[in-house]
Amino acid sequence: MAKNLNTGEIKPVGLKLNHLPKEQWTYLAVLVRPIVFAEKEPINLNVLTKRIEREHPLFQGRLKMVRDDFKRWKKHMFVGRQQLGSTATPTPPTDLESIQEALGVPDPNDHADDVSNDYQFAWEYLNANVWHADLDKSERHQASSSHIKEHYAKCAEIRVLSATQFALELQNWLLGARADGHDF
Amino acid sequence: MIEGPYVPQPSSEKLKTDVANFMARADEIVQHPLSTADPTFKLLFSFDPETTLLTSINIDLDAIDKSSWVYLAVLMRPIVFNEKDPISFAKLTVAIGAEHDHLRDILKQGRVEFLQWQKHMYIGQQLMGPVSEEHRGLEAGTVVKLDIGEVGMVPDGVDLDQMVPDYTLAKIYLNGMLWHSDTEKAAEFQAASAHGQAFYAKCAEIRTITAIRYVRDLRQFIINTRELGFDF
Repeated sequence: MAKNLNTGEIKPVGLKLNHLPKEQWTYLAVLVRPIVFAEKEPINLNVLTKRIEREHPLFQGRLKMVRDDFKRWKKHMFVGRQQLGSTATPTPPTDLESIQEALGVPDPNDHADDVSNDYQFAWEYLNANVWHADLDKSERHQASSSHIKEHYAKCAEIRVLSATQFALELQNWLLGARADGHDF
Repeated sequence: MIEGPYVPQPSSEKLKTDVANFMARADEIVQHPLSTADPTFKLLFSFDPETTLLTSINIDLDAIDKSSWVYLAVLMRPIVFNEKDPISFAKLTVAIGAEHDHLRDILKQGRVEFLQWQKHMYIGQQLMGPVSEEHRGLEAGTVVKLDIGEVGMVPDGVDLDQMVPDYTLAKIYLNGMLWHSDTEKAAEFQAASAHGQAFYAKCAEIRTITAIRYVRDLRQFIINTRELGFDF
Protein backbone atom coordinates (compact mmCIF):
# COMPACT_ATOMS: atom_id res chain seq x y z
CA MET A 1 0.00 0.00 0.00
CA ALA A 2 1.18 3.53 -0.65
CA LYS A 3 -0.03 6.50 1.42
CA ASN A 4 0.05 10.03 0.14
CA LEU A 5 1.31 12.04 3.11
CA ASN A 6 -0.37 15.25 1.92
CA THR A 7 -3.83 13.94 1.17
CA GLY A 8 -3.81 10.81 3.30
CA GLU A 9 -5.02 8.82 0.31
CA ILE A 10 -4.09 5.15 0.34
CA LYS A 11 -3.56 3.34 -2.92
CA PRO A 12 -2.79 -0.31 -3.66
CA VAL A 13 0.62 -0.69 -5.32
CA GLY A 14 0.55 -4.35 -6.31
CA LEU A 15 2.26 -7.43 -5.01
CA LYS A 16 6.00 -7.95 -5.26
CA LEU A 17 6.85 -11.61 -5.12
CA ASN A 18 10.39 -10.93 -3.97
CA HIS A 19 11.91 -13.99 -5.62
CA LEU A 20 15.09 -15.46 -4.25
CA PRO A 21 17.79 -16.29 -6.81
CA LYS A 22 16.46 -19.29 -8.70
CA GLU A 23 19.86 -20.95 -8.81
CA GLN A 24 20.02 -21.03 -5.01
CA TRP A 25 16.62 -22.46 -4.19
CA THR A 26 16.73 -24.88 -7.13
CA TYR A 27 19.94 -26.34 -5.74
CA LEU A 28 18.20 -26.83 -2.40
CA ALA A 29 15.22 -28.33 -4.24
CA VAL A 30 17.41 -31.01 -5.78
CA LEU A 31 18.89 -31.87 -2.39
CA VAL A 32 15.50 -32.22 -0.71
CA ARG A 33 13.84 -33.89 -3.69
CA PRO A 34 14.31 -37.53 -2.63
CA ILE A 35 13.40 -36.67 0.97
CA VAL A 36 10.36 -34.50 0.40
CA PHE A 37 9.07 -34.40 -3.15
CA ALA A 38 9.73 -37.87 -4.61
CA GLU A 39 7.45 -40.06 -2.55
CA LYS A 40 8.76 -43.41 -3.74
CA GLU A 41 12.41 -42.80 -2.92
CA PRO A 42 13.93 -44.99 -0.19
CA ILE A 43 14.93 -41.89 1.78
CA ASN A 44 11.60 -40.13 1.41
CA LEU A 45 10.49 -38.93 4.84
CA ASN A 46 7.47 -41.24 4.96
CA VAL A 47 9.29 -44.25 3.56
CA LEU A 48 12.40 -43.83 5.71
CA THR A 49 10.61 -43.25 9.02
CA LYS A 50 8.38 -46.29 8.43
CA ARG A 51 11.42 -48.43 7.62
CA ILE A 52 13.13 -47.33 10.81
CA GLU A 53 10.04 -48.14 12.85
CA ARG A 54 9.72 -51.54 11.22
CA GLU A 55 13.32 -52.54 11.90
CA HIS A 56 13.48 -50.99 15.37
CA PRO A 57 10.31 -51.81 17.34
CA LEU A 58 11.47 -49.45 20.08
CA PHE A 59 10.57 -46.58 17.79
CA GLN A 60 7.23 -48.07 16.75
CA GLY A 61 4.79 -45.20 16.38
CA ARG A 62 7.24 -42.58 17.63
CA LEU A 63 7.94 -41.20 14.20
CA LYS A 64 4.29 -40.99 13.27
CA MET A 65 4.10 -37.43 14.53
CA VAL A 66 6.87 -36.49 12.09
CA ARG A 67 4.79 -37.96 9.29
CA ASP A 68 1.69 -36.21 10.59
CA ASP A 69 3.53 -32.87 10.63
CA PHE A 70 4.68 -33.53 7.10
CA LYS A 71 1.14 -34.32 6.01
CA ARG A 72 -0.14 -31.13 7.62
CA TRP A 73 2.60 -29.15 5.91
CA LYS A 74 1.45 -30.44 2.54
CA LYS A 75 -2.11 -29.35 3.28
CA HIS A 76 -1.13 -26.04 4.82
CA MET A 77 -1.65 -23.15 2.46
CA PHE A 78 1.17 -20.62 2.59
CA VAL A 79 -0.24 -18.58 -0.28
CA GLY A 80 -3.51 -19.00 -2.12
CA ARG A 81 -5.23 -17.81 -5.23
CA GLN A 82 -8.88 -17.19 -5.79
CA GLN A 83 -10.75 -16.71 -9.02
CA LEU A 84 -12.28 -13.26 -8.79
CA GLY A 85 -13.68 -13.25 -12.29
CA SER A 86 -12.54 -11.59 -15.43
CA THR A 87 -11.73 -7.89 -15.54
CA ALA A 88 -12.71 -7.82 -19.19
CA THR A 89 -16.38 -8.67 -18.63
CA PRO A 90 -18.69 -7.11 -16.06
CA THR A 91 -20.61 -10.33 -15.49
CA PRO A 92 -19.19 -13.20 -13.44
CA PRO A 93 -17.61 -15.98 -15.53
CA THR A 94 -19.82 -18.98 -16.08
CA ASP A 95 -17.34 -21.52 -17.46
CA LEU A 96 -14.92 -21.80 -14.57
CA GLU A 97 -13.09 -24.78 -15.99
CA SER A 98 -12.06 -23.05 -19.20
CA ILE A 99 -11.08 -19.89 -17.34
CA GLN A 100 -8.94 -21.89 -14.98
CA GLU A 101 -7.33 -23.63 -17.90
CA ALA A 102 -6.59 -20.32 -19.62
CA LEU A 103 -5.06 -18.97 -16.44
CA GLY A 104 -2.93 -22.04 -16.03
CA VAL A 105 -4.52 -23.28 -12.83
CA PRO A 106 -3.25 -26.82 -12.17
CA ASP A 107 -5.56 -29.75 -12.68
CA PRO A 108 -7.25 -30.22 -9.29
CA ASN A 109 -7.48 -33.97 -9.84
CA ASP A 110 -3.72 -34.36 -9.74
CA HIS A 111 -3.51 -34.32 -5.97
CA ALA A 112 -7.16 -34.26 -4.92
CA ASP A 113 -7.55 -32.99 -1.35
CA ASP A 114 -4.20 -34.18 -0.03
CA VAL A 115 -2.31 -30.98 -0.67
CA SER A 116 -2.87 -27.26 -0.60
CA ASN A 117 -3.23 -25.05 -3.63
CA ASP A 118 0.31 -23.67 -3.45
CA TYR A 119 1.78 -27.16 -3.02
CA GLN A 120 0.02 -28.13 -6.21
CA PHE A 121 1.43 -25.14 -8.05
CA ALA A 122 4.89 -26.00 -6.71
CA TRP A 123 4.48 -29.64 -7.70
CA GLU A 124 3.50 -28.65 -11.21
CA TYR A 125 6.39 -26.23 -11.55
CA LEU A 126 9.00 -28.68 -10.29
CA ASN A 127 7.79 -31.45 -12.57
CA ALA A 128 7.46 -29.28 -15.66
CA ASN A 129 10.34 -26.86 -15.26
CA VAL A 130 12.90 -28.36 -12.97
CA TRP A 131 13.57 -32.11 -12.75
CA HIS A 132 11.06 -33.24 -15.37
CA ALA A 133 9.46 -31.76 -18.44
CA ASP A 134 6.01 -33.35 -18.13
CA LEU A 135 3.92 -32.42 -21.13
CA ASP A 136 0.57 -31.70 -19.45
CA LYS A 137 2.14 -29.59 -16.72
CA SER A 138 4.34 -27.75 -19.23
CA GLU A 139 1.26 -26.95 -21.31
CA ARG A 140 -0.51 -25.40 -18.35
CA HIS A 141 2.56 -23.43 -17.33
CA GLN A 142 3.22 -22.12 -20.83
CA ALA A 143 -0.43 -21.11 -21.26
CA SER A 144 -0.22 -18.93 -18.16
CA SER A 145 0.33 -15.22 -18.00
CA SER A 146 3.75 -14.04 -16.89
CA HIS A 147 2.32 -13.12 -13.48
CA ILE A 148 0.89 -16.61 -13.00
CA LYS A 149 4.22 -18.09 -14.09
CA GLU A 150 5.87 -16.07 -11.36
CA HIS A 151 3.30 -17.38 -8.93
CA TYR A 152 4.19 -20.96 -9.96
CA ALA A 153 7.86 -20.30 -9.29
CA LYS A 154 7.16 -18.53 -6.01
CA CYS A 155 5.08 -21.47 -4.77
CA ALA A 156 7.94 -23.83 -5.62
CA GLU A 157 10.42 -21.56 -3.86
CA ILE A 158 8.21 -21.38 -0.74
CA ARG A 159 7.73 -25.13 -0.68
CA VAL A 160 11.44 -25.84 -1.08
CA LEU A 161 12.51 -23.46 1.66
CA SER A 162 9.83 -24.57 4.08
CA ALA A 163 10.57 -28.25 3.31
CA THR A 164 14.11 -28.00 4.57
CA GLN A 165 12.82 -28.01 8.17
CA PHE A 166 11.75 -31.65 7.74
CA ALA A 167 15.10 -32.72 6.37
CA LEU A 168 16.92 -30.96 9.22
CA GLU A 169 14.61 -32.29 11.94
CA LEU A 170 14.94 -35.84 10.66
CA GLN A 171 18.71 -35.47 10.43
CA ASN A 172 18.82 -34.24 14.03
CA TRP A 173 16.69 -37.13 15.17
CA LEU A 174 18.95 -39.61 13.35
CA LEU A 175 22.06 -38.09 14.89
CA GLY A 176 20.45 -38.37 18.34
CA ALA A 177 19.48 -41.98 17.74
CA ARG A 178 23.02 -42.77 16.59
CA ALA A 179 24.42 -41.12 19.70
CA ASP A 180 22.17 -43.47 21.68
CA GLY A 181 23.81 -46.44 20.00
CA HIS A 182 21.58 -47.16 17.02
CA ASP A 183 23.59 -48.31 14.04
CA PHE A 184 21.66 -46.80 11.15
CA MET B 1 19.07 -29.83 -46.40
CA ILE B 2 16.20 -27.41 -46.80
CA GLU B 3 15.73 -26.40 -50.41
CA GLY B 4 13.84 -23.83 -52.42
CA PRO B 5 10.25 -23.06 -51.79
CA TYR B 6 9.67 -25.74 -49.20
CA VAL B 7 6.92 -24.70 -46.84
CA PRO B 8 7.16 -26.34 -43.44
CA GLN B 9 4.14 -28.25 -42.22
CA PRO B 10 2.43 -27.06 -39.04
CA SER B 11 3.69 -28.68 -35.87
CA SER B 12 1.51 -30.39 -33.30
CA GLU B 13 0.71 -28.61 -30.05
CA LYS B 14 2.65 -31.29 -28.20
CA LEU B 15 5.80 -30.59 -30.20
CA LYS B 16 5.43 -26.84 -29.69
CA THR B 17 5.09 -27.34 -25.93
CA ASP B 18 8.10 -29.63 -25.73
CA VAL B 19 10.30 -27.37 -27.85
CA ALA B 20 9.26 -24.35 -25.77
CA ASN B 21 10.21 -26.22 -22.60
CA PHE B 22 13.54 -27.20 -24.11
CA MET B 23 14.26 -23.65 -25.25
CA ALA B 24 13.43 -22.11 -21.88
CA ARG B 25 16.00 -24.40 -20.27
CA ALA B 26 18.52 -24.05 -23.10
CA ASP B 27 18.38 -20.24 -22.94
CA GLU B 28 19.27 -20.39 -19.28
CA ILE B 29 21.96 -23.01 -19.79
CA VAL B 30 23.85 -21.09 -22.48
CA GLN B 31 23.80 -17.95 -20.35
CA HIS B 32 25.15 -19.71 -17.27
CA PRO B 33 28.74 -18.76 -16.36
CA LEU B 34 29.79 -22.41 -16.62
CA SER B 35 28.50 -22.73 -20.17
CA THR B 36 31.95 -21.83 -21.52
CA ALA B 37 33.93 -23.65 -18.85
CA ASP B 38 36.02 -26.75 -19.29
CA PRO B 39 36.32 -29.35 -16.57
CA THR B 40 39.92 -29.67 -15.44
CA PHE B 41 42.25 -31.56 -13.13
CA LYS B 42 45.39 -30.24 -11.54
CA LEU B 43 48.57 -32.18 -11.06
CA LEU B 44 50.64 -30.79 -8.21
CA PHE B 45 54.36 -31.47 -8.46
CA SER B 46 56.41 -31.12 -5.29
CA PHE B 47 60.18 -30.70 -5.36
CA ASP B 48 62.84 -30.82 -2.69
CA PRO B 49 64.12 -27.20 -2.61
CA GLU B 50 67.70 -28.29 -1.93
CA THR B 51 68.14 -31.14 -4.35
CA THR B 52 65.37 -30.01 -6.77
CA LEU B 53 64.39 -33.65 -7.00
CA LEU B 54 60.74 -34.48 -7.53
CA THR B 55 59.34 -35.70 -4.22
CA SER B 56 55.68 -36.32 -5.03
CA ILE B 57 52.88 -35.73 -7.47
CA ASN B 58 49.33 -35.24 -6.27
CA ILE B 59 46.12 -34.98 -8.19
CA ASP B 60 43.74 -32.16 -7.39
CA LEU B 61 40.26 -32.76 -8.75
CA ASP B 62 39.81 -29.01 -9.11
CA ALA B 63 36.11 -29.36 -8.35
CA ILE B 64 33.79 -26.59 -9.46
CA ASP B 65 31.42 -25.17 -6.84
CA LYS B 66 28.86 -27.94 -6.44
CA SER B 67 25.77 -25.74 -6.21
CA SER B 68 26.70 -24.14 -9.50
CA TRP B 69 27.11 -27.26 -11.62
CA VAL B 70 24.24 -29.07 -9.90
CA TYR B 71 21.95 -26.23 -10.91
CA LEU B 72 23.06 -26.74 -14.51
CA ALA B 73 22.69 -30.49 -14.13
CA VAL B 74 19.07 -30.21 -13.03
CA LEU B 75 18.28 -27.85 -15.90
CA MET B 76 19.77 -30.44 -18.24
CA ARG B 77 18.34 -33.47 -16.48
CA PRO B 78 15.30 -33.98 -18.76
CA ILE B 79 17.42 -33.24 -21.84
CA VAL B 80 20.61 -35.14 -21.16
CA PHE B 81 20.30 -37.50 -18.23
CA ASN B 82 16.69 -38.68 -18.24
CA GLU B 83 16.06 -40.45 -21.49
CA LYS B 84 12.37 -40.99 -20.87
CA ASP B 85 11.48 -37.32 -20.59
CA PRO B 86 9.69 -35.88 -23.64
CA ILE B 87 12.45 -33.31 -24.14
CA SER B 88 15.35 -35.74 -23.88
CA PHE B 89 17.83 -35.18 -26.69
CA ALA B 90 16.82 -38.41 -28.42
CA LYS B 91 13.06 -38.07 -27.95
CA LEU B 92 12.86 -34.43 -28.93
CA THR B 93 14.96 -34.80 -32.07
CA VAL B 94 12.95 -37.87 -33.11
CA ALA B 95 9.71 -35.96 -32.45
CA ILE B 96 10.84 -33.00 -34.60
CA GLY B 97 11.98 -35.33 -37.37
CA ALA B 98 8.72 -37.27 -37.25
CA GLU B 99 6.71 -34.13 -37.96
CA HIS B 100 9.22 -32.50 -40.31
CA ASP B 101 10.85 -35.08 -42.53
CA HIS B 102 13.19 -32.54 -44.16
CA LEU B 103 14.96 -32.17 -40.83
CA ARG B 104 15.19 -35.85 -40.08
CA ASP B 105 18.66 -36.60 -41.45
CA ILE B 106 20.44 -33.71 -39.80
CA LEU B 107 18.78 -34.52 -36.48
CA LYS B 108 19.80 -38.13 -36.85
CA GLN B 109 23.39 -36.99 -37.21
CA GLY B 110 22.97 -35.02 -33.98
CA ARG B 111 21.78 -38.14 -32.19
CA VAL B 112 24.76 -40.09 -33.46
CA GLU B 113 27.12 -37.48 -32.02
CA PHE B 114 25.23 -37.41 -28.74
CA LEU B 115 25.49 -41.19 -28.53
CA GLN B 116 29.23 -40.93 -29.18
CA TRP B 117 29.49 -38.45 -26.33
CA GLN B 118 27.69 -40.85 -24.02
CA LYS B 119 30.15 -43.60 -24.92
CA HIS B 120 33.24 -41.42 -24.86
CA MET B 121 35.40 -41.88 -21.78
CA TYR B 122 36.90 -38.63 -20.54
CA ILE B 123 38.41 -40.29 -17.52
CA GLY B 124 38.32 -43.85 -16.29
CA GLN B 125 38.78 -45.74 -13.10
CA GLN B 126 40.37 -49.14 -12.78
CA LEU B 127 40.66 -51.27 -9.70
CA MET B 128 44.30 -52.26 -9.48
CA GLY B 129 43.95 -54.79 -6.67
CA PRO B 130 45.54 -54.54 -3.24
CA VAL B 131 47.93 -51.64 -2.64
CA SER B 132 51.50 -52.82 -3.14
CA GLU B 133 53.91 -52.67 -0.21
CA GLU B 134 55.90 -49.76 -1.64
CA HIS B 135 52.78 -47.62 -1.97
CA ARG B 136 51.20 -48.34 1.39
CA GLY B 137 50.70 -45.33 3.64
CA LEU B 138 50.66 -42.81 0.83
CA GLU B 139 48.16 -40.00 1.05
CA ALA B 140 44.96 -40.46 -0.99
CA GLY B 141 45.38 -38.78 -4.34
CA THR B 142 49.11 -39.43 -4.57
CA VAL B 143 50.16 -40.12 -8.14
CA VAL B 144 52.44 -43.16 -8.42
CA LYS B 145 52.68 -43.34 -12.20
CA LEU B 146 52.29 -40.68 -14.82
CA ASP B 147 52.38 -41.08 -18.60
CA ILE B 148 52.01 -38.02 -20.79
CA GLY B 149 51.51 -38.32 -24.50
CA GLU B 150 49.38 -37.54 -27.50
CA VAL B 151 45.62 -37.36 -27.15
CA GLY B 152 44.25 -40.84 -27.71
CA MET B 153 47.39 -42.56 -26.52
CA VAL B 154 46.83 -45.39 -24.06
CA PRO B 155 49.69 -45.95 -21.62
CA ASP B 156 51.32 -49.36 -21.42
CA GLY B 157 49.58 -51.72 -19.06
CA VAL B 158 46.25 -49.92 -19.22
CA ASP B 159 43.38 -52.00 -20.52
CA LEU B 160 40.48 -49.72 -21.46
CA ASP B 161 38.07 -52.65 -21.25
CA GLN B 162 38.89 -52.94 -17.56
CA MET B 163 38.13 -49.30 -16.84
CA VAL B 164 34.89 -47.94 -15.48
CA PRO B 165 34.09 -44.88 -17.60
CA ASP B 166 33.19 -41.53 -16.06
CA TYR B 167 29.63 -41.70 -17.44
CA THR B 168 28.94 -44.79 -15.34
CA LEU B 169 30.35 -43.16 -12.22
CA ALA B 170 28.44 -39.95 -12.93
CA LYS B 171 25.17 -41.87 -13.13
CA ILE B 172 25.90 -43.57 -9.84
CA TYR B 173 26.40 -40.16 -8.25
CA LEU B 174 23.40 -38.49 -9.87
CA ASN B 175 20.99 -41.35 -9.22
CA GLY B 176 22.34 -42.42 -5.86
CA MET B 177 23.16 -39.12 -4.22
CA LEU B 178 21.40 -36.32 -6.02
CA TRP B 179 17.99 -36.47 -7.65
CA HIS B 180 17.36 -40.06 -6.64
CA SER B 181 18.52 -42.05 -3.66
CA ASP B 182 18.81 -45.51 -5.27
CA THR B 183 19.95 -47.76 -2.45
CA GLU B 184 22.39 -49.81 -4.50
CA LYS B 185 24.09 -46.78 -6.03
CA ALA B 186 24.15 -44.89 -2.73
CA ALA B 187 25.80 -47.91 -1.08
CA GLU B 188 28.47 -48.00 -3.80
CA PHE B 189 29.17 -44.30 -3.32
CA GLN B 190 29.21 -44.53 0.48
CA ALA B 191 31.67 -47.43 0.37
CA ALA B 192 34.25 -45.26 -1.40
CA SER B 193 36.95 -43.27 0.39
CA ALA B 194 36.57 -39.49 0.64
CA HIS B 195 38.85 -39.17 -2.38
CA GLY B 196 36.82 -41.78 -4.25
CA GLN B 197 33.59 -39.95 -3.46
CA ALA B 198 35.06 -36.71 -4.74
CA PHE B 199 36.01 -38.58 -7.93
CA TYR B 200 32.38 -39.71 -8.42
CA ALA B 201 31.25 -36.10 -8.04
CA LYS B 202 33.94 -34.96 -10.48
CA CYS B 203 32.63 -37.40 -13.07
CA ALA B 204 29.12 -35.97 -12.69
CA GLU B 205 30.55 -32.47 -13.02
CA ILE B 206 32.46 -33.45 -16.17
CA ARG B 207 29.37 -34.99 -17.71
CA THR B 208 27.30 -31.92 -16.92
CA ILE B 209 29.77 -29.43 -18.34
CA THR B 210 30.61 -31.44 -21.45
CA ALA B 211 26.92 -31.97 -22.25
CA ILE B 212 26.33 -28.24 -22.65
CA ARG B 213 27.51 -28.22 -26.26
CA TYR B 214 24.69 -30.59 -27.27
CA VAL B 215 22.12 -28.33 -25.66
CA ARG B 216 23.71 -25.30 -27.32
CA ASP B 217 23.81 -26.98 -30.74
CA LEU B 218 20.20 -28.14 -30.61
CA ARG B 219 19.09 -24.71 -29.40
CA GLN B 220 20.90 -23.05 -32.30
CA PHE B 221 19.39 -25.55 -34.72
CA ILE B 222 15.90 -24.69 -33.45
CA ILE B 223 16.59 -20.95 -33.73
CA ASN B 224 17.83 -21.41 -37.30
CA THR B 225 14.90 -23.56 -38.37
CA ARG B 226 12.43 -21.14 -36.80
CA GLU B 227 13.96 -18.42 -38.96
CA LEU B 228 13.27 -20.65 -41.95
CA GLY B 229 9.59 -20.76 -41.06
CA PHE B 230 9.26 -23.80 -38.83
CA ASP B 231 6.63 -23.09 -36.21
CA PHE B 232 7.79 -25.19 -33.25
